[in-house]
Amino acid sequence: MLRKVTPHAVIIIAAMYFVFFFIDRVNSIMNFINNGMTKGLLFALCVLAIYNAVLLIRENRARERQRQRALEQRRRAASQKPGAPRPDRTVAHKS
Amino acid sequence: MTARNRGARARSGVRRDGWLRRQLARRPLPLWVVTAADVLVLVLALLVYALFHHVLPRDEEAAGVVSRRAAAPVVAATQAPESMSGPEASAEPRAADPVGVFAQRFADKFTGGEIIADSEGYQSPSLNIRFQTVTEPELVYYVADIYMRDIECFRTVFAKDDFGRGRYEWLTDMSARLGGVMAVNGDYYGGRADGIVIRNGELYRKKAPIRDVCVIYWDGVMEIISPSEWNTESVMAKGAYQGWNFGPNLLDDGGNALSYFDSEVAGRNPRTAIGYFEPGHYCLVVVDGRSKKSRGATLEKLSEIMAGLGCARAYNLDGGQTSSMVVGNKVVSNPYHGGRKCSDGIVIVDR
Repeated sequence: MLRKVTPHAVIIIAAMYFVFFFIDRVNSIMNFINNGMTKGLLFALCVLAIYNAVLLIRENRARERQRQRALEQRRRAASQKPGAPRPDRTVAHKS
Repeated sequence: MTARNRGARARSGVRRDGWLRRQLARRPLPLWVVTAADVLVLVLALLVYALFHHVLPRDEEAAGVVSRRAAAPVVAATQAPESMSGPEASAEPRAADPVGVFAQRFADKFTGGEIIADSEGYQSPSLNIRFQTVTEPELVYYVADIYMRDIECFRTVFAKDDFGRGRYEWLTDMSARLGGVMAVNGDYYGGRADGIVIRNGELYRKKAPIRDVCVIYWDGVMEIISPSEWNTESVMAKGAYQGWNFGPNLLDDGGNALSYFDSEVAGRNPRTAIGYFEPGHYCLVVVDGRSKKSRGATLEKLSEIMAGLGCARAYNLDGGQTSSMVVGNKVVSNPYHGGRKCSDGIVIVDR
């Protein structure tokens, strides 16, 4: 569940920051950027961004490992087939 | 659908859901549903944020430092406005006047006992105020030129008479509570948590300022201090009576207009400013804006106005929809969209 919700939370908090930046450009006196609540949101954004990034890296690595494993299995299957050229052997071209 | 059909469908286990329900039942959810949900949550989050940031009242502890008039020193004759000449140019109170009393300095400005009040001004034994409405192409502004016998005619007031964030009140009500002759909005301290708040001799908030601070001392001298030069202890020791933290400073050291302001709110807007001529002599200026008749003033234009009035120092207060001037119990300026409640005001009282 958390894994599904955090990307949306990141999008929402980041969009809130877009709004704050815009208001701050128009009227900085209202102090929308540099107050306690906004700092808390920034902290939450950092935590969520790191959590998301870690999940993404982990998923990418798992996917890569899976891809490597599949490739390896295909190679092995190909090399066990009788008469089939071994995939890792270079075939010299005869003229 | 008849009851018979519904019964048959229920028995067969087939459900006929609506389109939305079918969309929501899809896994993963359609992109538009996800986007709409995110936007909805974003709007709700912003509303909750605004509620806490801006609407809900929050108590604040006053810093509790008080500068007493009896102990207040005369700030310094060095504060004399350079742009002024003649006998009124000295900021040093005359020997016979105690600190914060300008009876001798402006003896000819006050009446012997009667009060003369009309649309052009107000004159009494303690006050002399001249009101002026200036109309230029696409610009209307109101000037109140104020002489006071005693510095305590210059009062400030919090909305609901309570220091804290998120408290708002109409300027007319705040002025009426103090029995004010006239009033303008202050620096909207309640809309933020930072900066300096000094009111009627008490230091309420002393967070490091990031904008120019305007201070009026018990002896009537007005000073504008940049954040880098700010020192709370020293300012309070010098007898700070009022202090606002909005800005910017509108004039240079010689009382001349500035030609450039590094500010996001430098465009044409309704404005409120306070000007200082000498101790006991000030002006309050309100500029109408965001209308066809008066589009408002840039900070450069406001600086020109204040320099043109002959101010030695001038300081920008909160503007926009807050900007308004009240005389008696009537709003004499034309605030944008009828104005709004504000968190504090400057009230000139007759005492």
